[in-house]
Amino acid sequence: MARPVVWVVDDSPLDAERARRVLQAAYEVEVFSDGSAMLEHLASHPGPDVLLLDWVMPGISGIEVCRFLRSGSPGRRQLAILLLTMQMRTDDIVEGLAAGANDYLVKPYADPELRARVDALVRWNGLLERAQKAEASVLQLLEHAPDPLITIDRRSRISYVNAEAQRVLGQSAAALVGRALGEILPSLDLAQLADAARSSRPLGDITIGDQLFSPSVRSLPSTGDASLTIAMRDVTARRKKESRRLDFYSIIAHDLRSPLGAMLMRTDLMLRGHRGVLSAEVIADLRKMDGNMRRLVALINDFLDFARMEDAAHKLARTRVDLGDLMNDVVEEFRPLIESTHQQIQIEVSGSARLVVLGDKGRLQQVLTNLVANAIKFAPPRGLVVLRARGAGDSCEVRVEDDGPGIPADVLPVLFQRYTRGPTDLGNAGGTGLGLLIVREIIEAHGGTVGVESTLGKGSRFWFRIPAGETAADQDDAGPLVGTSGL
Amino acid sequence: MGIPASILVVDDDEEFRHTLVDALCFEGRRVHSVRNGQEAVEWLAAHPAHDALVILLDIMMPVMDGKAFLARRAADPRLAVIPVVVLTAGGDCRELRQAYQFARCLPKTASLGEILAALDSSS
Repeated sequence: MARPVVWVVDDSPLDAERARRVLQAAYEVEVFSDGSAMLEHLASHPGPDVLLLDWVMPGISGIEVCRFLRSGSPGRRQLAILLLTMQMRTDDIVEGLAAGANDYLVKPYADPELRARVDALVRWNGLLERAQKAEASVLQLLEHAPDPLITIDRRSRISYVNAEAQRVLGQSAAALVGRALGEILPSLDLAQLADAARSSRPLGDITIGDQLFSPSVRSLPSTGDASLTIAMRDVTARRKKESRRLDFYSIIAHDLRSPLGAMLMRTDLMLRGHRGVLSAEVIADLRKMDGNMRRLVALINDFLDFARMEDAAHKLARTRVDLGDLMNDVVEEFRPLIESTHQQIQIEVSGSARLVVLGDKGRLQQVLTNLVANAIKFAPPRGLVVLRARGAGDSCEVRVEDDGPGIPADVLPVLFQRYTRGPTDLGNAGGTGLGLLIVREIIEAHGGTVGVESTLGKGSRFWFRIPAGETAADQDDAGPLVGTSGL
Repeated sequence: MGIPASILVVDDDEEFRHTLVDALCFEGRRVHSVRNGQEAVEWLAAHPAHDALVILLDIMMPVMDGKAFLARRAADPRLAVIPVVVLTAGGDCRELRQAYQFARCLPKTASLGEILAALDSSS
């Protein structure tokens, strides 16, 4: 390895010569009689590792050289400055260090001290170089990561964008850094960012140009979670494939339902006596066939719901949804069924806050439908199903209660898990056990929680809780939407 | 021609269509059936609408599907007055109900009783 280079700038030939003698055993030493000669040389040569700079010189002074070097282009090789000052000139030392000198030495000095100081500066230089290389390689990794990366500060302003992010967004880093993330990615759900970073939950897809990206967020621990890094995976092709697969499932389901519908109707026709008087045994058999076919129908429906569900997390179409209205809609859908079973259904709303959430209306309707269908299934004939909704502070809770036989304690914990369901002797009238799993997936995609409580012989209570979509401030913002602003 | 049909079944699935027509006939309804929206438009042009007529409409059909038929119906004042009950195998009743609020919508797997009730409350 080449020996480190030291340049000595001193107007006193004697002093300069002495320094050369002290240092030349370990360093390549060059001597300059004044600052301008040194700077001229520097313009056409790589700089030294250490610059030994006399403070008081005719022409350009030490401090001027210092300031000039430190204001130079950042690409210039790192060079440590060791200041030589006269005794008792504290002001000079303070001024010199402030101007960018790394260390100082008071003339007259002992030879070993000069060597020790220069050695220390060379070591310091080496450390600095390594740190810079490490930082550069990390930055290079980020810069050339295959996914767009964006880092934001605590005020959600962009502090870093890598090359891929600049390419995707079609703007340079200079144009992006400092701007609000919401301005750059309006379709990103900012309110969900911090929560998603904590739980590593995926966020909804966002559209940039004609491409779909799935963002994921992590907090940077070194900044006390104040900075977040958002990585965006291009999922355009994957989502296309998923949607083709779903279309295919839908067609299969459609083609299964038509013959099933015809079979159900033929069975119905016979049970209604249109094919002549039937024996009790035939009627019993037909009823069993009807029951089995209805199970197949439920299976197909659940299967399709579940297939659709798998991408719910990244496809939530969030709007402001009033859970109160949604409950009414769902109950109305079940009205004919409930009337045929002479069951009753009630809606009770309590709490101070409005029941407005930011959610996917279709999916939330599916949640309520599944829970109400479940409750109706398990409530006895003439039984009672109650939907209780409560808006409290920052969350909305909905409970669906039935007065059915209840669920044994050992079954409760697995109800919301894959491919399980209550004991079949609870009057399982179809269903795959996917219904509650779908409920859980949808609610969790909304950042909420689900649960169930049950007492044997008394009934069960299924509930979910999701973050409220509206604070007092939001309600002010909502003014123009409902046309009350300016009144 | 005698008493005019009170129900026009529009469905391309032959087995389902026959079963539906059989079942409705057993229930004492007068039914005519066609295989797609285009045939329905043609039949309705040839047979003046009357108060008792209800259309029982499938959605996924060749030539002219249920949605195209509904659009055609909406654009034609003579057709727009005829009530429609949608009978779909697509499992998309909820979406259809929201998109076509005038139309009743049932899955093809609904019981005959439900279908009759929907027809009766529509006519």
